[in-house]
Amino acid sequence: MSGSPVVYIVDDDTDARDSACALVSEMSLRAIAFSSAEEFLNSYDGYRPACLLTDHHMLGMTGVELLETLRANEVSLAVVVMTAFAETELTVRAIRSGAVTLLEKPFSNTALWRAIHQALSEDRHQFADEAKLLLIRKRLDSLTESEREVLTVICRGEPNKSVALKLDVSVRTVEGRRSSIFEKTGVFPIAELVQLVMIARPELC
Amino acid sequence: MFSVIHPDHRERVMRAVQNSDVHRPFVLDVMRRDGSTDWSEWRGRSLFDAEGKHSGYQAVGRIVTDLVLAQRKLAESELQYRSVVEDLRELIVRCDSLGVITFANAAYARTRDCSPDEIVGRSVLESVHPEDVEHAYQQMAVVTCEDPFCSLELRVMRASGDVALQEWNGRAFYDEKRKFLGFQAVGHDITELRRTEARLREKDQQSAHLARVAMLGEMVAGISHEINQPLASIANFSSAAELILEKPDVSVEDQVKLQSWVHRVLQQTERINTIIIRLRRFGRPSSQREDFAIADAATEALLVTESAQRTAVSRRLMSCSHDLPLVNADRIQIEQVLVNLIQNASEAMQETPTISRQMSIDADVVGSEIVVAVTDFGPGITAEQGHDIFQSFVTSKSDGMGIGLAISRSIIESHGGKIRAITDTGYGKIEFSLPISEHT
Repeated sequence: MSGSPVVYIVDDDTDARDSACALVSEMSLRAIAFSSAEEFLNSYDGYRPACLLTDHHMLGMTGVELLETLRANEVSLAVVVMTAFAETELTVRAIRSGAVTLLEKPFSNTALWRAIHQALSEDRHQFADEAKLLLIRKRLDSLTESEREVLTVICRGEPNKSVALKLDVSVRTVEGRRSSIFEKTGVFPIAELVQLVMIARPELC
Repeated sequence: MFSVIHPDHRERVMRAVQNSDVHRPFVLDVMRRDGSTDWSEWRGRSLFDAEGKHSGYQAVGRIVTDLVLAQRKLAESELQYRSVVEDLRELIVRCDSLGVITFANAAYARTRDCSPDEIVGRSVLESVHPEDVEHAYQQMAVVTCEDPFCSLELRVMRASGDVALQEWNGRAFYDEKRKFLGFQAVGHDITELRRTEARLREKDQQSAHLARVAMLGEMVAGISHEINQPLASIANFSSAAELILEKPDVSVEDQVKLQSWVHRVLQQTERINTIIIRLRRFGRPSSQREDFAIADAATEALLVTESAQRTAVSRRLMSCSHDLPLVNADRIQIEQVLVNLIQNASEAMQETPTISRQMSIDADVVGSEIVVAVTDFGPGITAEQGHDIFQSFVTSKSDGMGIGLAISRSIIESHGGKIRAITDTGYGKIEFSLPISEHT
């Protein structure tokens, strides 16, 4: 996590786009503007921390469709949808796809500030979670084949004795591998480990 | 000799013979052998001998059956025509070359509040509204031996003081030396007709206006989008300017920014103003017929529907030359038809891939009309739909009233044009025609 936060602005109306850029820039944030959803998707490189401020009514891909496309591609970038006319259906779709909020045009600078702030902070949390996940994944990948076998059975909630029985090894061996798993992953107690494995490597459970 | 005389008439014949002289022929019917009757005309005289004693009759006769029958027919038909003329509700009048009435039927006499006999001898122009007398003279003056017909509409002062509107078709008469003899004219009262027409026109205008207002209602989403968009720009530029002005000192660079933003804010207010003027004009109750170029109306209609097309149409083509002849019509109503067709076209392309969402408006001269077509790349109209879509309350849209095309049709037809759907083509096309203005 490094560098200053970026606010991506997508709007097909030149004046609306420029004015949003001007305001965001005066808030001492870096603004990068695009005139269509397609243009944004073509040049988005996954830079973090960032958030996306997109208009909804655009020719071609709409704002909510852009949001849905990002989510379908597992991009967790925080998105604020702007609209000059909020219909219920649009609001529901945006929120369901995980938009931070819906800004109705025209909006005050405090409303924009709050929305961007919330988006960037969500993005930061999201990023932290993702980083944590990445770390645990890396650690899980460092386990040996036999340690992974033990982990799988432990995740099903079985005691050492039955693990030993199932894997046809001694209870002592199971205990050894178990402590080595805790050591390698750096996670304790067992409940938290199981939870992380379910998120990071569900196939091991 | 009397045997050939019809038995009923023998008595009369005897008397006639006794009273007759050469100068007073008498007519009698003679029975034919086959039982039918012939008519004969006789001129006879009594014969006297040297002492002056009546000695007999001398008569010369001829068969006049055809003549008698013809006269009878004539009398019958005259009676018939007389009663037709008298009973007609149409006004019939004849006058001589000076406009003096020589004959008028009862209907005409009634409008002058007198009997047919009393009217004879008076002037035909007496009751005409003073402002229309000149017009009547002019119309009556243009007739010739070759083209003796004229027609005119006149205001007429009724005996009651009311003004009535009459329509007249006249024919001039000439003698064999082409000398003008007078006029015969048939007229009828069209006061009520005109009044009804005006009422209908007013109703048509009202319903077109209501449909227009309803249309604006359906456009609310698009309109508020169109207005909120520049409002958002104004708010953003102003907020950004405020942030700069909160700084302790404003740099030269900031000043340049401020200048540019203020300029753009003004542009945005102009943008909103234009939208509002356009919508106000479109929402107006009615307008007069005027000469205008269909291209101008199409441009205006495209601007009014800009918001609807924003996301629905990717390419607009307009091939309406400004060189086309003008049309004479209620401009707002024609724009209303175009707005309706453009909106339908936009909505028809919702399922069409963005890149192919093309709509075109074409206008061209066909004969004495201008034909305007609005085409879209939607799924098109089937022959069956093409039949129904101009009916009220027929719609394929979930949120439509189904009155747009019905109103469009009544607007176009009231202007003497036609509207139709081009069907089974695989794309949507509606075209309408309007007569070319007489002034171009």
